[in-house]
Amino acid sequence: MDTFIFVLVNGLLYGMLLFMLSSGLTLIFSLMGVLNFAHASFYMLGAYFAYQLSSFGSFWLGLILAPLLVGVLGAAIERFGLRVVHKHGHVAELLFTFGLAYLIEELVRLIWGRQPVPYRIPESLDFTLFTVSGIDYSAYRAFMLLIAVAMFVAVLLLLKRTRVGLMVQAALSHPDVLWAMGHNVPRLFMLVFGGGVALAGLAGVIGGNYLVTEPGMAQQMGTILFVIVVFGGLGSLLGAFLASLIIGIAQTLMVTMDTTLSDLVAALGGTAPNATGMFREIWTIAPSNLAPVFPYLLLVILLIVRPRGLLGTRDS
Amino acid sequence: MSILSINGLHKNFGAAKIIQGIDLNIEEGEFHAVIGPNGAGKSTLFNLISGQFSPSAGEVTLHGQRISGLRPYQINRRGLSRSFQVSNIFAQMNVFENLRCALMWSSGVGYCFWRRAARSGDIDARAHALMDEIGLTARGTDMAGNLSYAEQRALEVGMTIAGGASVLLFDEPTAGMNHHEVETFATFLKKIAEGRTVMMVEHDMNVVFSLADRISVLVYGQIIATGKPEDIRADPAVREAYLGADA
Amino acid sequence: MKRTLIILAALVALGAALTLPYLGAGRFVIVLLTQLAIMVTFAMSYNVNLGQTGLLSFGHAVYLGAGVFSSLYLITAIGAGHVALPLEMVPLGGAFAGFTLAAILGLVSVRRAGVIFAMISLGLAELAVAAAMLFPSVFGGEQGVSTDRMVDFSLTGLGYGRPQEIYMLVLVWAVISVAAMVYLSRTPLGRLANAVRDNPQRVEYLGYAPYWIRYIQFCIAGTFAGLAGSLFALTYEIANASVLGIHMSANVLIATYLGGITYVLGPVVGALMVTLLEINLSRLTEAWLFYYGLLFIAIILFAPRGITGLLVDAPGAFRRAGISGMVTTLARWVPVVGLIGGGTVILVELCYHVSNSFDPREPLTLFWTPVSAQNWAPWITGAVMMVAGLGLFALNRRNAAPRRPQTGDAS
Repeated sequence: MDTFIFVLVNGLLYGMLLFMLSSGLTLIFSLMGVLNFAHASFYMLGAYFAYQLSSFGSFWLGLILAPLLVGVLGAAIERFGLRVVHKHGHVAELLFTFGLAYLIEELVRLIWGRQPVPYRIPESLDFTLFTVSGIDYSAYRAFMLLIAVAMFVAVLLLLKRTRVGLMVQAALSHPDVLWAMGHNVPRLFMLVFGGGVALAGLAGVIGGNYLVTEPGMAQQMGTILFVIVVFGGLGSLLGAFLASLIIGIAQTLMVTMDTTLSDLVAALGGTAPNATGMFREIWTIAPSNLAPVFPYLLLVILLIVRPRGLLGTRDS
Repeated sequence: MSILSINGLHKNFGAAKIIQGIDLNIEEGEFHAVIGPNGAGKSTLFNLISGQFSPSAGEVTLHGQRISGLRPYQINRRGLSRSFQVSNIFAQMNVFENLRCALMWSSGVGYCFWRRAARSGDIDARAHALMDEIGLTARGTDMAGNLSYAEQRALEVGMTIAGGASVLLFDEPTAGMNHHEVETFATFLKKIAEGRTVMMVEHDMNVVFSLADRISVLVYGQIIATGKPEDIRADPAVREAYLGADA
Repeated sequence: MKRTLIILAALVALGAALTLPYLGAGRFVIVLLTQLAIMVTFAMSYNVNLGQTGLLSFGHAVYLGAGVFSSLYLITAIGAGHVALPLEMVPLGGAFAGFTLAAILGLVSVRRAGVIFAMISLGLAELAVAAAMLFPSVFGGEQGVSTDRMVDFSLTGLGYGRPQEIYMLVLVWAVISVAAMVYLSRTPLGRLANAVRDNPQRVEYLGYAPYWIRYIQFCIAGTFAGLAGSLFALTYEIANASVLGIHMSANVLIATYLGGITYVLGPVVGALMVTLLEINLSRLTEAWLFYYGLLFIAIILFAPRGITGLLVDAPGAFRRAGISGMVTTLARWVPVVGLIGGGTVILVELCYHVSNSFDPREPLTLFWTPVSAQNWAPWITGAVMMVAGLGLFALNRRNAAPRRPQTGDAS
């Protein structure tokens, strides 16, 4: 039972990390109609920037500066890249962000090399907070959760209390309204894109040292993000939140399960057939093997059954 | 028997009741105009007839067969074709190709992928004839997206009539045109309508009263009057609800 | 007139490709030509989805993979005498495998176009890769599945042991496939696919179901991807799960887009260019993938109709500008491209040398000059060139903006 709670807490943490990414992605998509393929690349940049900054000064310097840097970079890319391809339609925009993801990955390899970089948890947070039935719970995890919740509250306040936030909200429910209201839409786009990727950058800062900071981290994270925003319903922040938690917890849970089909057969009193020939692995695959695939399976099934996602109102 | 018949039609979007019980019969060969203030539900009515939406209650029949609930392409195959308020053409294809695509189903080529389009039946000849009819022969090889506004409207109508549908729905065919263009276009529509049944939503009263055999007035999702143009002009309820300011 | 020119060019290329092996071309050239033919077929099949029907797929390599693995097993079965099929007909098997898989997965893929289709294709691709990893008994794990194409059962009597012989076989199938796909684009279905790409709603009001048009096109694309996979299997006789991975799908997407998706033969140009670029660039520099990505972004930003679009527009643009206009344009843009390009290369190579080379203290050769990455001078040179180039670019844009309407891609 204790292990189960431990796994649940870890899943929650992972889910919150996912939400830091998927919230920005959803906002950008709702507002601009662009599914930002490079979103996870900004997460990766956040981690690498934080690594670089923490090697100059301290982790705390990176925590503050890295998301800002990522945000500024994102705003510049929106201004000089996305805005240019906007007139060629959504497919061109998607392709642009796809090319961007490709380029950022190569850029990271170019500057920091192919191997993982030693981006470490700050010493001040590197201790055991509490121990439950022999399993340590580190202070850094608590810190991550704190940052994620703080960010969640901050975004909520921003959306509810500020003018920009109200405009964004209006655009979420009625995408055409903004243009009619005559606001400075291009600047709003730039702000939201910059802000969204800055959130991803922040996730990279606190996630990069918890997981691994390496050139493949963006691609690994990227496709899961799409699953989340589509699963939650394109354009729904609450949907993205639920989907992040569900996928985070489900994936973490699955990793711990290693009952195979032949175990199951044995438990039911039978004997698994002799494992030879093609597809013989089917008897020895456990849920833990399937954990990485699970989100995609969910995505495909969902898109067949309910293309608008959990809480989405728009079809595409 | 009426060629197009609308019985007890309702449409709600959530709590909003856009169409609240419409009964209307369109006779064969008739030119029927639907007028009404903005937000009366005219476009929704067209979307319900042509299959974009399915009704919340009631039904539409074409040639006596129920068509509500069918997909737009199924309704189109049964002989009902519509134009759009905003030109709805294939912008990246030339005028000739636009018309050819519009002609394909009625030429019986289906989803054919074993014959060249140019060799399939008499599509090319028909496309040229149609291009003549709508006066776009000179622009045949130009991209549809590069045509002038009035030319795009003509192409829109051309694509609507291409399939040889017996019933045509025109959604504000002269929207956005200047005075001179409207006049020319009204003559064009009159010619097109010969031998066909037409239902038209239109804001320009000159066009409506010069073309329509009968007029229906739609206000808040209900038809408050249907009749000959002179009757509609004289109807006190219509004058109050709609023509009030002008008359 | 235009069509005649295209056919003529195609025939010339075909003739050249056919005769080259007998002009004593080396093994390297033959292997390269074979690779080109496979890539051209694959890219053409990709564009049946993207360019013709407007379906942006991130998982087209899945159907290539279906062709590859089915053919590897088929060739082995022929060799063992289990199947009586001449080796030349193996691509039909690959095409059938691609078709079958596309016919199944297409049912769930093409309900929507646009972003949703793209996401489903990505999800299916990830699933396919994961499945391939989970079943080494079928996909051979890391070392992959291999076969031997010398099965002693052919129509022509050739043994297909030599690269020249297999090249001829691949070439014939590639030419047939490309011709078939060009033909398909001219059929009613092909025209309707363009219509669905531009405006699916209108198509529905013309008596057609956009779903079916997308579905049939998707199956056709899968069929030819499977055929390309078969050619791959015949050529290399070995493959592992990476052939159906995201990387392969991304590659064909980039190649097709670079070539120009709005032209029927654009993917041919793209596949040729990318394959040649890959080979030449990867010999010149270790950072070639980065340059490749830059080129892709540049094309999306400045020439959305691809290299073919530039080639088609260039003569007209030159004619309109005249000699003096051409000189002015060149004088204006060559320095920009030179400075930005040169600066980028210098900085990229320095970065790469510092972070990825065996010994960063060793000097590297940049533009035929030995340079030490430990000095500041080359870094500053690169940065200054970049800034100057970008400044000139902004200046040119401002000057040129009022005179150029929307079609400024070619200049």
